[in-house]
Parts: sequence; structure tokens; C-alpha cells
Amino acid sequence: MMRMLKMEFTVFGQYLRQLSLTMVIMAVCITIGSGSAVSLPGIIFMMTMFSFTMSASHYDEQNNWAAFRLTMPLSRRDVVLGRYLFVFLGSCACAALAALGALALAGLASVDVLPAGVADMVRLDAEGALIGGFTLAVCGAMGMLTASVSMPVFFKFGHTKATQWLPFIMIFLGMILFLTVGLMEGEAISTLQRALSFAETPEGLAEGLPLFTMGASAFGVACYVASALVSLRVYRSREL
Amino acid sequence: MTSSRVSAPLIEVRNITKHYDGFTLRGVSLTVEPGQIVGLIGQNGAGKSTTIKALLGIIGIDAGEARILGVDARGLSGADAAEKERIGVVFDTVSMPPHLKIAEVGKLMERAYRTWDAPTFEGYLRRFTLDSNKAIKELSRGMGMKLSLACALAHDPQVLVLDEATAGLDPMARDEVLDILREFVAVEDAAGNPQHAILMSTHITSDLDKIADTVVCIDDGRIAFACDKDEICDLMGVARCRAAEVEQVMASGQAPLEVRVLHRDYGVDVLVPDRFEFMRAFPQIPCDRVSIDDYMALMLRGAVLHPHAAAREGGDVR
Repeated sequence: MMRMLKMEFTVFGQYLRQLSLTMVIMAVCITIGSGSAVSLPGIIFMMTMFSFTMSASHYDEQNNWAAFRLTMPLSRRDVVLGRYLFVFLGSCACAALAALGALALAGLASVDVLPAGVADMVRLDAEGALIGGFTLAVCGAMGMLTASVSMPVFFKFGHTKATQWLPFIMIFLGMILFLTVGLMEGEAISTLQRALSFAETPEGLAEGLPLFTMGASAFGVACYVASALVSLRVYRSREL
Repeated sequence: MTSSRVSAPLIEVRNITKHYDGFTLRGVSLTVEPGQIVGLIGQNGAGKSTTIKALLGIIGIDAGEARILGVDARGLSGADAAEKERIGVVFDTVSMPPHLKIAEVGKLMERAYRTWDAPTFEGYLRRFTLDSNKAIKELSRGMGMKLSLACALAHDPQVLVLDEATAGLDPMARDEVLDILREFVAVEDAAGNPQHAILMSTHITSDLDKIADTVVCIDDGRIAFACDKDEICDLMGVARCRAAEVEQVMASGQAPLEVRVLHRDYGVDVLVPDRFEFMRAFPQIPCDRVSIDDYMALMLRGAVLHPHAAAREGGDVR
């Protein structure tokens, strides 16, 4: 698995360099657009998770790379687990870089080096840090959920065929969610509404946010692990 | 080439069957001994690449057994993946993402193979005049194949599996590559036993004329023939006959039980098992050395005549 992970980082070497430039541009746009830099790590994590998943499966199809890779000393298990680890670690690294950048700017803002308008946007306080953590958890869960759905499809069908099916699969899963909410009984809906209302209060923010953050992270990781198990199964019998 | 019959075969394919919609590989068998170069030939879509993929464990096998270096092909993508350190593979393209530069290909291979030998790889790059700063997508087909061969040879494999590896090479480069393959297969241990072997599929049968020990032809998913190359190229002949001469050959009593003939615009080609004997018996009929191309054409497209049966029945042999 580690061998595959190292190979993935080599294959993605050029792309990672391009991505770092794209991330800087994205970070500037997001900060200006939202008036704050606290959500950067979360948004960057979600974006790179999606991007790595798509790009990796695209590379697999180029020049029959996926088939040739199986002639190397790698098992199919190594390929799948190495890919999941690469997508996760790569996204974590990008999010960490974004967080470091945001912290560095917040540090500069605290010593009045930056112009006032910029300093206001990048300044970080306790509430901002809490919101940043919450955004990271929610975006992380969304990123991992998206990758969890798409990666088994890529492993099963390959990039070209998978991109034809994925929009339908995503819409179908979204419809299931709406149907589930729609079919919930009155009491369940009331409980959900009460929980959301409580979350908007100061007490709710203080108590509920850490809990929700942990819950979202756990949900994302659980989906990702389950997805890896499905991918292992589908890739075992894939004919390349 | 010296073939060792003492050691176990390095590649052994027994009656493998693989079914797809519209194509079935049926009961394909072949063996590659240490010190041997076995050429796999056949038309497009005949089943050569399917056989190679099955041997490498890239696709499953419906029936039969394929072993390489003593390992079941089914295990190569699983528990026995490490055995692939000793297998060098070249497909018909540079099978890596095209944005990679040659230097990055070296790094990638170094991360993939514990036995990777960077100086050897760099030596091949110099020998093939490949620029490390060039990306795969900038390489011509021939240069790409040279890069693939450099990769396959630089991790000290024991077996090379080549799928159209000489395609796209100019004649000079092809001769150079064939020399490298000869050097590879000539490696022996301290006791003088050959250690390496090559299985190569190709459309360029002239390459096999030069280096193969055995030629295996697949047609429509089945083995059409498998024989020693020397038997074809050194002993057999193709008699360039006119129709009347075919009658004469058939009626002579020198004809074998089965005669392969191929009707052409200018006459009839007849496959003769021993061209020297034939030339003595029929000095007036031109008889050439058989190339693998000629042999394949006669075996795949030629008709089979039974002169003795025809003679018994008093019929026409045509």
C-alpha cells in the first residue's frame, strides 16, 4: 500500500505544483468573497478531495496505466488502499497548508502589518476558530461522502464510463435523502427543528458545535472506510 | 540460443480459456523454458494480448492454468504480487500517464521496484539517446518503446513479456533492441544454466526470424501451430509452382500425407517439409526458404490437400 502511495505522489508531482498555485488564487477569491479566511481549510479540503479522486481515475485510463500498474509488484488491494490513502492524505496536506496560510495572515493582522481592510478579513478570534473547525468538519464530511460514492464507481467502471453514471447516482442518492426527510413522521420533524433552533442559540453554539463537528467527522470517515471496502471488492474482479 | 530442458519452465500456460462477448480464447497452451525466446504471432484480435494479460493476472481465466516463474497467474494481483519484481513487461505503448517526464518515470519505477537499478536505467537512456527532460507525450512511438524497454530491463527481471515491443522502431533501433534481447536471454548461472527467458508477441515476424527459438501462432482464439523456428526457417521450403507442377508433385509419391497449398495470382505456393530433398526431386521447380510470414500465410489461409487419398480415389488433387 505504501508503495502505491509513493507512486501516486510521483504521478501527481506536476499536478500538485499546479494545484498549489490554483489554491492560492482560490484562497484569495474565497477570502474576499466571504469576507473571512476561517473557512479556507474546509473548502480547500473538499475541493482537493473531489479533484484528486477525478484526476487519479483519469490518469488510470491514460495509456492503459491501470493495467500496466498491475504488472508491477502491487496487488489490487495495494492499488485500492493506496489510492484512498493518497486522496485523503493529499487533501489533508492541502487543507493544512491553507490553515497555515490563514494562521500566518492572522498573525500578520494581529501585529498591524496588513492594510485595515485585509486585516479585518483574515483576523482570527475564538468564535472564528470554532466556525473554522465546524466548516472543516462539514466540508470534510461532504468531501469524503462525495469521494466515498464516486471512488467505487471509478474502480468498477473506469473514468469514462463512471463519469457517465455518476451524475445519475448522485441525483438518485440526493432523492433518497429528500424522500427520507419527506417520509419522516411529524414527531421526528419536530425534534429535528428543535435541534436546529437550539444550535442557533449561544448555548447551542457552545455545546452543539463541537458535538456536531465530531459527528460530521466521524460520519465522513465511516463513509470513507465503508467505500474503501466496497472498492476492494469491486476492483478484485475488475478486468483491465 | 541454447534451450535448457533441465530447469522448470519459466512460463507455462495450459489450456487456458477466456470468454468474452464475440470472442473466446480456447485451450491455449505454451511453454517458455529458461534460455528461450518464444514468439507469439497471429492476426489482430486473434488472442495474443488476451493470452498475455491472462498470464500476467490482469484478467481472469475461465479455465486452465497459467504460471509464470512457478506462480499461478491468479495470485499475481494478490498475495504473490511481489513475484512481479522478477517480471519485466512492455506493452505496445508507453503505459504511463503521458505528462510524466522520463526522469519522473525513473523515480516512479524506483518507488515500484525494490530491485530498481537507477544507473542501469540511465545507461539505457544514454544508449537509446533519450532525454530525461522530455515528457512521455513528446516521444515518438519508437522512442516510447525504447523507454518502456529501458524500464523493463532496469529492475533485473528474470522473464520479459513483450507485447508488440518492437513496433514503431526503425530498422537500426530494432536491431539494437534485438541485440539487447539476445544479451538478456544469454545470461547464465555459475553452472552454465540459462536463467532468463522472453515471451514476445509481434506482428513483425522478421524479428522472430532473427531471434526466436519457438513460434506459437494463435488464430481466432486457438493455437494454429507451435513449432521450433529453425524447423520452419532452416528445413522447410515453399515451392513456387504452376498448377501443372502441383499435379506433378502430388502424383510423385514424394508428397507427404498432407500438403499445404496457397493459391496466388501467379501460381500456387506449396509448403514442403524438407526443401533440400524437394530441390533434389524437382530441380525445375523454384523452392525458397520459408519465412515465418510465408509459413503463417500457408497455415492460416492455405488449403490442405491429401495427395495419397486423392490418388487412391483417382480424383483431382486441386
